[in-house]
Amino acid sequence: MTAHAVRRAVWPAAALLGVALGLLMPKPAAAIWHDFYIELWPGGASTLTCGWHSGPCYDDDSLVSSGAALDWGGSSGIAFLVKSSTGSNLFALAGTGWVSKDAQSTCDHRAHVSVYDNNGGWRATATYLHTSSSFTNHSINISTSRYGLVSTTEPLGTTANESGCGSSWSGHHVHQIADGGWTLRSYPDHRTCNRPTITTDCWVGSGYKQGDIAWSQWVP
Amino acid sequence: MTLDRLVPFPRAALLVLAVVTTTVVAFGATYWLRGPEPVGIAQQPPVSPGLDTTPIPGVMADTSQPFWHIPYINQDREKPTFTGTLNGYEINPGGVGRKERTAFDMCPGVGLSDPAPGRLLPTVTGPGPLRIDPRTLPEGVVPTDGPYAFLCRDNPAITYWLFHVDAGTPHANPGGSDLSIHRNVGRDPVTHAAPRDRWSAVTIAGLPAVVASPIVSIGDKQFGDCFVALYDPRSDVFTTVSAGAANAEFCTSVMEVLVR
Repeated sequence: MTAHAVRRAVWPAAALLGVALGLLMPKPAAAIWHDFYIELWPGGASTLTCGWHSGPCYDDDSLVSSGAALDWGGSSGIAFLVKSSTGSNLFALAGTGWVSKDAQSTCDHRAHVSVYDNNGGWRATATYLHTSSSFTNHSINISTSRYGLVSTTEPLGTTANESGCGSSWSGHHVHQIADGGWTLRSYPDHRTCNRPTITTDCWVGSGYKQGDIAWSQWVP
Repeated sequence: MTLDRLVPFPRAALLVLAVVTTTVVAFGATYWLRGPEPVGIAQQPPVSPGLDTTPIPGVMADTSQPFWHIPYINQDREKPTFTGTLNGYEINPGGVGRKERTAFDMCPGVGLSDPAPGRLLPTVTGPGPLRIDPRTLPEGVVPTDGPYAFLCRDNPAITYWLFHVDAGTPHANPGGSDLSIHRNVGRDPVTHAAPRDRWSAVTIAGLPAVVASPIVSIGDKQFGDCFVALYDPRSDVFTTVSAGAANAEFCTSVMEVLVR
């Protein structure tokens, strides 16, 4: 082979070498967003006794403020109930719930669940007032699925007897608060759903979600 | 002066340079045109660590990775919940040997009552040992539910209020947190549950107090709740502060405001 022929062959060889290296060199995986969605459902009795409000639900609309809580009447067990879905094919969990007793004292029996995403970022809290609890603080997995909503239920306790705690405690019920990023859903406000005409004003048919939240998580 | 005199074998050097340039350009174009590695091939589904996975001693968790906090939860779960006395406080999460005070115990004969119409907010925010005033709390803390107040013969006996902590508030989780403040007359046992190594004895405003840290706090990320309890014998008022996603400094700073 002549020197001229070698010089002519070196250019495609160099280009081929570059292409080969470009194909073989490992590249980092794509970092993408994963979408999650959680619905917060009523976790207590099924009778709505006070629409969206904050604080005590006095028998006087002018004394009650609108807020992120609903009262569910009746004597029953209380549970954290959420339903979740995801657009991700990587995750079977939407996150972790931290279940904690805030207070178990006179006129203040309270438990809550803090909802964290899979990167440990706080997203929302559900608080259950008038809930008598005996559990030890603990974590739970919040299940999810890309094929539809899946439920996670965690028992929290029973409705507390807070008789003697003023007129705002009208009997066994749970005051369920959606704190944080929850978008509050279609229930009546306390101005149309409050004592003394609960039966007609608070009727909402079969129960549905109290609020929901959606977020995207960046996975490197 | 010619090129041949400056560089020995100039034609060979130029040839090598041109070949290298061709290779680099071909590599760069190919590598760039490939785009990112497909996730389904290059990235396995992140699996939540098992219940037996605990933190590696001496290794700081990478909080950018999914499930970084799970080993800390596992480690915490294995430790017994502390029951006992610390800094003069009875810590009794299970309520063992204790009968909870009822409203009729706190206010014999009549039980507790509501503030008069229109007096709820002034009762909670006005001057007094059970005062909770959102205007004095750290920036980023906003009310979500409440306030609540119960009176014993017109005297405040219990106040509490629930709050939201905005994202970006110092010492809270980057996403924010919840916060609750409870105050009552009389000394109650502490019912917050945590293992012994998360409890600390501290002094706040010259008074003994107990603080529980969250399960893990790395940089600006926390998992679990902080808690502080303080009893003031001068006013006979017991105060607790808890936040679902914040570190001990945050809960302590709120308590400092309350007992100032």
